[in-house]
Amino acid sequence: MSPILGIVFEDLSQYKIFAAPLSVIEDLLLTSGFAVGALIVFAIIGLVVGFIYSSFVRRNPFSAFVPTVRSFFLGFGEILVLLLRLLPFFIVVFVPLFAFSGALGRIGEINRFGINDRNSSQVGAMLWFFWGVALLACWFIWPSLRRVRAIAKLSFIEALRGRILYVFVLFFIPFLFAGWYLDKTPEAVLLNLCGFVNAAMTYILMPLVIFMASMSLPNEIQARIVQTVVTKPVRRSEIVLGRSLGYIAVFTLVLLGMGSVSLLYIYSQLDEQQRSTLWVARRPVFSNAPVPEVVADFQKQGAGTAFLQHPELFSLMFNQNGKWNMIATNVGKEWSYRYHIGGQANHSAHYGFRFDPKVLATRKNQRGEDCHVLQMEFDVFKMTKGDPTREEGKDAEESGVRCLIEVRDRGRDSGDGAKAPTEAQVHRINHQRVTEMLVPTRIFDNKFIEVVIKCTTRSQFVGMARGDLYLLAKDGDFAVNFFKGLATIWLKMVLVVCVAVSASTVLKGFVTVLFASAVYVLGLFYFFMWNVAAGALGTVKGGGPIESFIRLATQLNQVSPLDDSNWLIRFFLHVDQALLGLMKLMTFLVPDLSKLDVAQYVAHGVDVPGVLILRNVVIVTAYVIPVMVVGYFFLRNRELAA
Amino acid sequence: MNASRKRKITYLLIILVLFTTQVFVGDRLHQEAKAERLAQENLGKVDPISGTAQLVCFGFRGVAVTFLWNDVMDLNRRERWFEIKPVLNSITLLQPNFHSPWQYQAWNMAYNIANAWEAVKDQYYWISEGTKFMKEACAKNQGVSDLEWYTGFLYFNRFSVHDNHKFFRERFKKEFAEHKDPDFTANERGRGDPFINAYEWFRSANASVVESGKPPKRMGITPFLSHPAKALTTFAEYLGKEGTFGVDAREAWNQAYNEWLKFGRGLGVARKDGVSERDQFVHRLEYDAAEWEKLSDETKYWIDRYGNIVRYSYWKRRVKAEGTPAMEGAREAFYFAEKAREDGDYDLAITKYEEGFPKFRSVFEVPKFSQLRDDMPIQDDAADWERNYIRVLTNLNRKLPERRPFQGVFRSMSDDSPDADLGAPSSPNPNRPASQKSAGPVQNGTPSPAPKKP
Repeated sequence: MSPILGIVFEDLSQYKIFAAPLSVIEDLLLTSGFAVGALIVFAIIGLVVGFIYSSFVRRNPFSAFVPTVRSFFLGFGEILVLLLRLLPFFIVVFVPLFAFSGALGRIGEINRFGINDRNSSQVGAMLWFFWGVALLACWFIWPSLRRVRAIAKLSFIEALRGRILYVFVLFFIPFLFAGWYLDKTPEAVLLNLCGFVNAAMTYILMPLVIFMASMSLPNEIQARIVQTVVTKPVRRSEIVLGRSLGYIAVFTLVLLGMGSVSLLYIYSQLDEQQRSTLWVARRPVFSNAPVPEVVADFQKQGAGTAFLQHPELFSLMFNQNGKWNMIATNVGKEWSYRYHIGGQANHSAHYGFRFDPKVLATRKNQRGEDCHVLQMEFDVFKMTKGDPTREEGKDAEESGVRCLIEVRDRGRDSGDGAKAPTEAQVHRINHQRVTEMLVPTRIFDNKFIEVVIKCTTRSQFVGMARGDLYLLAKDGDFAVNFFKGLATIWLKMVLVVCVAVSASTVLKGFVTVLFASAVYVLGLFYFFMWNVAAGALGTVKGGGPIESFIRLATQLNQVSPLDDSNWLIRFFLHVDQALLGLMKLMTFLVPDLSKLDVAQYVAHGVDVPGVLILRNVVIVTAYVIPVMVVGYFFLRNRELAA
Repeated sequence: MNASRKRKITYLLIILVLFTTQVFVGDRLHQEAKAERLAQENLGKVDPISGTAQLVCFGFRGVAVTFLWNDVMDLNRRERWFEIKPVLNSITLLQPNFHSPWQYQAWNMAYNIANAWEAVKDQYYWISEGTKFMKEACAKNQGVSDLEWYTGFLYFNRFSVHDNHKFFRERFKKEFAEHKDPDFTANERGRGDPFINAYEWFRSANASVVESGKPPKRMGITPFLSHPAKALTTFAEYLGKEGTFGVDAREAWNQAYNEWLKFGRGLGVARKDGVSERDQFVHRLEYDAAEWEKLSDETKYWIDRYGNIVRYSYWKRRVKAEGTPAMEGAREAFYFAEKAREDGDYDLAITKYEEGFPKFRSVFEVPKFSQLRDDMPIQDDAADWERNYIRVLTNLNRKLPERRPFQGVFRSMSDDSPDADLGAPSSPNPNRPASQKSAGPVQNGTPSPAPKKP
């Protein structure tokens, strides 16, 4: 489903919070495509609606047809010119983001539009060339944006001077007492601390953002201060843009301050041992390529090369009794994210990794060899009680199942018959505990390895998914990662500021506050709203608002059919369908804020992928541009300097 | 003075009057609430954060809690266990005096989440988390007998019925000895045993019932009140299972017996005059002979009926028998016999079995304990010891006794069974070697002669 202004994209990250998107490049490409498509669709709809509005609603269509339509297209042209003037700045910001996120280095994975692994370096060079041209263009365009800069500066100073910012002092109060209530167990301490600071920042910042951004323009209009601006040769688009930028700048500074305090707080709450293990941002490298036997099997079945466009989907395959499959045994769990292989049965799981091992972290093993680190966290499902792997007399805590883990070099051409280098170890696997294996670096020389898992404990099952086994790249810094995680709150703040400023061009102050709050809250519950509005396709049963009320009042459950013979109930159900239609329309207009959440990565000590932030930036940009255009048109049609 | 100023002064005066009135009225209301035990401090520990959180919800507490419950179920489904606890804390922060969330989530942690983990230490951790969660519930809801009872039940059930209960008990004792996690392991008696913790919570629950005069909701009052005695009985039983005998064991059985008597005497609750036994708040089950004779038939009927709910007579008899020197000696002998058998020291095992058999039989020759011959657990234990003894003899190719050690003692192990007479040639015994000749009947534990060398 692709709403006009919001973007919905189902990805693996909703299942395992630190599983990589389907393909980092595919993800970004698809999102960007949706964004551009959404903007084009918006522009077309805007043109049609604006044309009709100008022609028939505002004036007598026959006598004023040409001037009003001309006025509308002039406005549209003004927006286009402004966007074109801002385009070099977008390029100057996005290309470095694109490069630092790591996406530029993997641009060859696109395999379309003529871009592939062979010419990826040329494509990268071309992007940097465009960046240089854009930088030069910015130099020339900069003076022409002086009015936008002036209004942004005014908004910035006005916000700083407002005593309402003192409310941020409240931010520090919870920190005085939070330590008494937060769970300090090793498994949960970082989760709880990060969850607490994120909640504190969000609950203090967002209401203030909504209030300040919503009240500013209406107050100025009411006090007629805005006349001192609109009587100058300042375009309406520059007023909307400048005001938004000013508030974004203020709240960005505030967020940075709150983030710094939060980081210091987290650091102070951890003890020495916790800091040594948790003060890190792990960078997992997940499997991304099917093993050659899987490719051969698909080709033998005539599956075609379509599946190779998404190799990540087949990077974990199960082999049961000689047959390859994407799924294995389902042990009956409610959440079927993992599939299980049986112990001492002819079952195995195969992960394929194809990448440059230079990014991987290195450690020495007991033999003094340089090794890369393989980590895994599997599910253990026991069919029998007791622990057959525990040695007699040993502590009961040494429970678990045994697994044989083989890492094979699949990049080596074995035409000469020589056996490919392999490292095989038997490890005790405990349920949801991380097991680590050191693999000598020589296995990675040919940049394509296969990891084979077999359970050697009879009558037990081991469950795994793609995100459960990974190689560790060099660790990132927790502090840097924490600030990357703040992107969640920053992007939400940018979105809310733009919505509030745009809405304030037509609505009164407190109405704008309500409107912006509603958009924000609905955005947080977007998934729920969509599931209700989707009716039979959604997961929330029980109908719309009226049907739910009837069920609540009559204490009926959500799935029993209502009494259709009652004409009143039939009538209300029809009204309810209309309300559901309205909700469906809302899902097209309200942004899905849950998609922007990357704070979970930080809470779990995993590095936030740069490309994920880039994707979220694309989503927010694609949303705020139409919002601000709508705000511009409302402000343009408003009599401010009468 | 202009009109605006006059208005402002008027409003200020009205505010002051209303505020002052509200202070007095509010205080009066608070005193009445305290008298009726409805004030917040009567309910339990006062938590300012909880109060603030409820106020901040502006009446949307129910909505907030609904979404939090959804979160918990979603985290449960996705096995994100460690993220559940903060959400549970939020739910109970908003609804501290709702009993069901506390109980349900404690059960969820101690049973469902614990069993989702495979390592013993992880299961133990979640059982302790669930139990501590219930303790917090009791702190915030003082005097609620059902919550106190359930806390005791978690200690009682999780450390006795679970497949890994032996490992849990070892870990509990180890943590107690090392003063780790005192919130979970400590108790008033200073004993490192979860059944003592269970006993103290059950006793507290009983006190809450008696003090409040309100019956418990989860079960009838008679079985509810019997749990302290059950906890002490299980404690004494496990002492024997884990090899503690002598003074400690006898003392434990005596305490259990006294607790049963205390329960039988109605916990000292005064009887209501003019009310039938059926309608009494707490039922008295223990009477001496003289008192019993004076009771009406109807009263005797109801006493028997309530007593049978908890098998009061049986437990009194059983606990008394277990505390006798003969039974204690027998169990001690069989404990070491089983241990020797598992260690492969068969000679010692045989000696200990043969030491235990006569002691065990002598218990049932006492008239007041003879009814225990019909008790299934005792019969099961006896059957195990007897079978293992015969198995050991067979392994050593020793002569089997003519009669089983407990033959004729227990009704279900009757003389009509095929292997009743182990020495008779007409009775095929699959355990008996073909070359062994009959040496005549064995009497009461006489050691069997060693087989002759070929």
